[in-house]
Amino acid sequence: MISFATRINKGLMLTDRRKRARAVYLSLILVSLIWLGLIFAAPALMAERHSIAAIILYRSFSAICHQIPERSFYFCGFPLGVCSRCTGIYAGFMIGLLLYPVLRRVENENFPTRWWLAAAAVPAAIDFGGGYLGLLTNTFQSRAMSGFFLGAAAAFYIVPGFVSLYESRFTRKRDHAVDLKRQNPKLT
Amino acid sequence: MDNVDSKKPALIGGLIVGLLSVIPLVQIANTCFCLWALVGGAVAAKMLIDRSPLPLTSREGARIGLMAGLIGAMIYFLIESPITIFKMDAVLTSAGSMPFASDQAKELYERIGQNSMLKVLLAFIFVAIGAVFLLGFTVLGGILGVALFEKRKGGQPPPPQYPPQYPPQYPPQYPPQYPPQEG
Repeated sequence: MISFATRINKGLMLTDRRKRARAVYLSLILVSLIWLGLIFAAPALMAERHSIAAIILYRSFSAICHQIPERSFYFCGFPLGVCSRCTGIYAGFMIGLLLYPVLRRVENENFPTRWWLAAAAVPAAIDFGGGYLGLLTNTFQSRAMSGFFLGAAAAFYIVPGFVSLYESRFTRKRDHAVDLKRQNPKLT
Repeated sequence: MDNVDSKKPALIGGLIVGLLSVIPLVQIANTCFCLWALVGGAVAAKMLIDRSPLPLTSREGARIGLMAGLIGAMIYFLIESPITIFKMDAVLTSAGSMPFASDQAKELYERIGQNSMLKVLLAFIFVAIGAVFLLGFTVLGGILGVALFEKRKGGQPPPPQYPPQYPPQYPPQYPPQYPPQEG
């Protein structure tokens, strides 16, 4: 028979765990918003003639994207910081984050079955591989949409990863505090 | 999970991320969604999965991705910084020749090209930001690597079953053998 105090303790612990998971989830949304904002900020800064800042952003994004202007969306008359496929991935990730609490509990640290991720990667793989090998001609829309599905699916694997990572830091600190208390009961 | 050696997987993953991101031509793959960072993180996760007797969770995937990402980002920063400083003139020329570059931007590139301190500073900024991106994507690669490669289910294995130490006269007889009542 679990005592009333233990049940209250367990309920409080679960509430704390939910709060920590929500903090991680909201942080991921914030980082994702900032990331998308920087992608759009590069052309906006270039249009506003803040060239040094725009150069830094464009050059930074060049490390992770080919930035071919013909394959990029345009904003304020200049291409975005990344190509259409990458923009689709990041936008899809943002949408996946927003849908996450509707479909899963935020504090759930377990991955969904991996076949969803593999299935979401298939359109992007076909679009990229087929275009690279010359088997098919990919379009602006096909690159963006295939990236969108992959990004949205990836959100459902990345959120539990970060929630679990943050929870492990908290658990380690709490276990360390419990060990110290056991070794020295006079500690407050 | 603390007793599993994660240094070797992190080192191998970090070497994949760092070295392949600086080798000419090979580094072009990074323009495809930071491919080497994702691959490095996933390889580190797969190696850790093979070494671990228990199923890995997303937490360990993120952790091994972070370790590999730190190693890879450090290698990338140390090797790419002098290379970028050396070829900064070519970087500025190619940036100025982009079709969407404004006249003001082109003028700015020329001014930067004439100022050595500004060239070195910008080179360090570019490489540092690139290293941070590599770190972030390697962490994602670790998480996704565990999601894709970990097939085992469940957490801790059940504790070993010991034979119970039954007391003598167990199980008790039922109904109990009461002594006859007097009276």
